[in-house]
Amino acid sequence: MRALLLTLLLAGCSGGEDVAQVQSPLEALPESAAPSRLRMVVTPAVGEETAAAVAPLGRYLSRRLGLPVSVDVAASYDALAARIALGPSNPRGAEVAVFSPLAFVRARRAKAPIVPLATGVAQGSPTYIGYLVTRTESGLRTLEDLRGKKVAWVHPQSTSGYLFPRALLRWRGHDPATYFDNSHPLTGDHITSLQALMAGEVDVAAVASTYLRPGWGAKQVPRSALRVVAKTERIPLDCVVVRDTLPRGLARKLEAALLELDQSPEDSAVLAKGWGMGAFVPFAAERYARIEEVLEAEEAR
Amino acid sequence: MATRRSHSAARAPFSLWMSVSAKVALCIIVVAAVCALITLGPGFSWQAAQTRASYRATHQEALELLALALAPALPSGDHELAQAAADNVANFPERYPAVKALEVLDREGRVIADLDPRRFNTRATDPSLAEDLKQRRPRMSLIAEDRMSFVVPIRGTHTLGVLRATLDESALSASLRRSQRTVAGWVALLGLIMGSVLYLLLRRLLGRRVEDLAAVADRLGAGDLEARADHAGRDELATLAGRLNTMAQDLSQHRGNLESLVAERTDALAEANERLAELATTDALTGLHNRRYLEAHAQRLLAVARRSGRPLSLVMLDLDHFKRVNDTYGHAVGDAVLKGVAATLRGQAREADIVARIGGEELVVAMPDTDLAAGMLAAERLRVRIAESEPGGCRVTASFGVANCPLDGTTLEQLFESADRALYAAKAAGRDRVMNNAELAA
Repeated sequence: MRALLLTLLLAGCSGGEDVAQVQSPLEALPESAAPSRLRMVVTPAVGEETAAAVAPLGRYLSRRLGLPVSVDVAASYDALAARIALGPSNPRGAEVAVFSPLAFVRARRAKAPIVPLATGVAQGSPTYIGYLVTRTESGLRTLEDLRGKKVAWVHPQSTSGYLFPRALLRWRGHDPATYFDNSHPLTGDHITSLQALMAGEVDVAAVASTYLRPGWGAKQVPRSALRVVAKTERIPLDCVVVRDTLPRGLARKLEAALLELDQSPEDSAVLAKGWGMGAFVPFAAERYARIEEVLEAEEAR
Repeated sequence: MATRRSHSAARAPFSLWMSVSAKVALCIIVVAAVCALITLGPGFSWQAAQTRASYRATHQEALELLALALAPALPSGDHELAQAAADNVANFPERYPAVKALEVLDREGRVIADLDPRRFNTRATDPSLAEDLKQRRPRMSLIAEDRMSFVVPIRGTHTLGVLRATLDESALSASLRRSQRTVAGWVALLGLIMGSVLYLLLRRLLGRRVEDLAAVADRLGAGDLEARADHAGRDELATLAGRLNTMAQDLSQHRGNLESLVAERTDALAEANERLAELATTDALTGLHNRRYLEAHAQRLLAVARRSGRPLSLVMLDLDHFKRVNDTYGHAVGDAVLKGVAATLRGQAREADIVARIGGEELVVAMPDTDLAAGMLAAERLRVRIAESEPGGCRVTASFGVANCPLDGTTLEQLFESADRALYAAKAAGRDRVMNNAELAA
């Protein structure tokens, strides 16, 4: 019993069976004939390497669904919803998308024609954290040490690279507009932010925790060279959605394939190594509720 | 009254709640319930204490193992393991419903991991921090109802930090209460079922037999002394039934005796009454009717005569010189004379005639359906017989007065007066003769 509890404390999740089951939103999907192909679009989570990193997911899904699944990387966070909105008849359209959490929340607020299926799992957790990191050698150890220092923000559409770190500053009693030196331009992605930090262009970078955890993103930068100074609240990982015109039967098969990805260890390991997310858990709306709250609070200012 | 009460008791069935079976079953249920309460209370407390101890021990051991796992990583600044543990608790509350707080502090009191990651790298300031950081052994304490605090030191060669957790046992308590309620409910249900079965058994084994006994008692009370109870068996009720049967038998026998005695006494009483009536209407010396009888029955004969229009003659006679007989021969002879005259009169009288002695030596014969002439003839015949019979060895004569209804009157008084007048006339005329009022008038 104690070993089991410890294992649970340390091991994290490995599938969808542990999350409270909610009524599947797939019931809203139509019952129509399956298309001859499936087009998936993802956010540029790992920059230029994203296409190669996520390609194994396309192959895995093709095998499971029995139809070609193409995976494309959107140009930006904003492009995701637009690609979905184009619809199945448009050559640039997509039927499946992997939204960053904030993009997903925004799309939901904009009544985008999407139905969520699953949430990604990275290194055993369906959540990650926004880190404020400094170079170890800089001697900057606490948030208080960072007052007036130059910061690298990813993008206003980034949850961990922008929205939640700013909410953290407010929670700690600081104004994000003035606490840092915000003169450095938005980096656009987390790896660029890390690179700017290591290059000495900034003193602090707001990045997702997934980039620092062993075995993955930190390959860009030696982990020992970075010091985590502050952490945000937990943020749910990316959300896989389908267009609301996708046949229900195919959506169910797709959902099952995603939730059972961790049962295919080879595919799961390759995806975890390159893309970060190597498994999925069932979608649960409450995971994303906090993002909406923070977003509303930020927008209210 | 007793019979009425018995009948009303027989009509009223035994009330369910007032029956012996129900009372005995209720007593047993109450005793069982008290026993259940006495045993369940401590039992529940013991079970709750055991469950809580096991629950706390499990969590404490898990936290100790986690502290053990964290110890090597902490000095190198690797906080990911601690973060992963906190993430798991935060991300999967359904797995750790009891863990309400979990934090890892370094030896300076800075937060390394927490359920709220925003506390990372902040300094804990709670009053117990200093004491917690000094802990060398795991400590568990109750900080509020259903809320346990765990402090587990993270140690290498020296203290590296501390793992603190708060365990909310309200769900466990609720679960215990639910299970206790379930057990209590089942015990109560079982008690009710057992009580019902017990009641039915008692009713079958006891209640019906008591009712049968009551029915037999009712029948006995109503007078049916042939009623008998089933006294098969060797228990108390069988004994009671046997005694009831014996009592019924005794009663039956006693009643028979009483009835015989009553019949015997009734016969004796009737005989005595008859005798009394006879004494009241009979002359003791002569055995003839007395004046009372004559007046009562002569009235009846007169009424019949008046109604039917038939004649009735009243003959009154008086022994001549009877005082002289008494004075000469004594009263014993006088009595014998009277008895002899009475026997003569009785011997000459018809069935319907009434012969009575109305005075010392004065006698009367009432003759229905007899006109004056026939009455005179009958009186004359009596006079002759008396003179011939020599009663008591003495030669006696008698004087006769005859009255007739309706010639001399229609009432008894008129007839008596008329006959008496004729009698005195016969006396005056020399005695030993028969006269009537018509002769007096002539």
